[in-house]
Amino acid sequence: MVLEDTQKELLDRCQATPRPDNDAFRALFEHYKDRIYSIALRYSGDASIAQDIAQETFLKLFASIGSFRREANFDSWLYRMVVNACFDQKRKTRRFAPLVDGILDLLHSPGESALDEVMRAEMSGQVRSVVESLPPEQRMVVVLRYTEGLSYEEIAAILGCPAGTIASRLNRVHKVLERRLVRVAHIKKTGGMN
Amino acid sequence: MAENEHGWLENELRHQLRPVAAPAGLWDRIQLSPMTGVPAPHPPLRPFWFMPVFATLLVFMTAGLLWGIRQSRTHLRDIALSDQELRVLADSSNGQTYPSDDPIQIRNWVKRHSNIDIELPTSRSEAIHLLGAKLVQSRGSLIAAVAYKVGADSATLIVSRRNGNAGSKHLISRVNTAGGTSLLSWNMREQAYTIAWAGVGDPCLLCHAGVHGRM
Repeated sequence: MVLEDTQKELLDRCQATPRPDNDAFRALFEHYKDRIYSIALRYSGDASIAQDIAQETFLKLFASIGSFRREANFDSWLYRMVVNACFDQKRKTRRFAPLVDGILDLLHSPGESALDEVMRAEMSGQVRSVVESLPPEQRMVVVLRYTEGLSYEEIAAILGCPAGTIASRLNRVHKVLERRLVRVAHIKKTGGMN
Repeated sequence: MAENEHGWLENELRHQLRPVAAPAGLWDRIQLSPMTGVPAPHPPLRPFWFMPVFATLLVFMTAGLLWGIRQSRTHLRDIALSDQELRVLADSSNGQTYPSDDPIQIRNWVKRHSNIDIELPTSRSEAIHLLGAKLVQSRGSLIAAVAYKVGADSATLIVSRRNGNAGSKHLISRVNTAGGTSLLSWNMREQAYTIAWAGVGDPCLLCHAGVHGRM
């Protein structure tokens, strides 16, 4: 990692004064912004919410970088911040006015058949749609694993649970995804609709 | 689970969830936050003389808005879909749903189940993502709704048959904004169209990729 050589220096500059050095903080931002935003986007599935989460994460970093302990891993520390920001993200005020929501609800109304559910997942991006429907903890494991390419151990350290838990969560997710996506593939193949 | 057993799934996950670049404006949002307190590169000037000008503009804009609302009420009967029809459409729990992102399939499905023909271009802006169509009964006739995304924003194109021929021109009858929802209605040929959308995306990109800006 390019930053590794200069990370200590940047952290030194950020921690030297109560208020982090702007240039050093900017350098940290530039290095981590894509990763932080990607996690937020893949977790939330919404570009606007992802920007809010990323902004909140960097503001928290700005406010608390002075308290970072050097014996800890900075990447893991920062990942925990964005993970917490994702989990803390309140259910946003509904983005669409009632009328538009109502109309869209027609396409998402309850009581649909399992076929409709599967087809809806298929139409709105298959895998991403299914991932977005997972419980927060499972969704975050998937994002950290496949967006960031982190190992089970690294994910476990960030989420504060044993690596075995991560493995079993991913296993469950694989099964769910496989089941749903195989059905989508089958329906697409047979042309089942209506 | 063996790694190779889920190989295709893991590849699909890596592809679908691949990292993306952060938007260019993210640093500006952080920089301008009161918490960071970093001054903006070009702090906006707020001279006092601007206040009366701003107030005058506000008065004119408010008057214009009130006039526009009054006009749209006056011509309520002329617009493509009435507010009541829109609410019927929004509130109905009945109707047939057809999820698809294929404009040809959507057109064929709507035509097969109604006398409505929605000609959706097969080539369109990359910002547009079709979600599907819905048919709902209202006042004894069918209304078709095509749901789509404009970037992250949602929009719905609502189409119904109209008596008489409104001509072949694409005449906009009303642009109205209320409570964050914008409605754009027009009559074309023998059909009435309304787009309902919220957000900053241009919903007209559904049919007019790159032709014009926002309404």
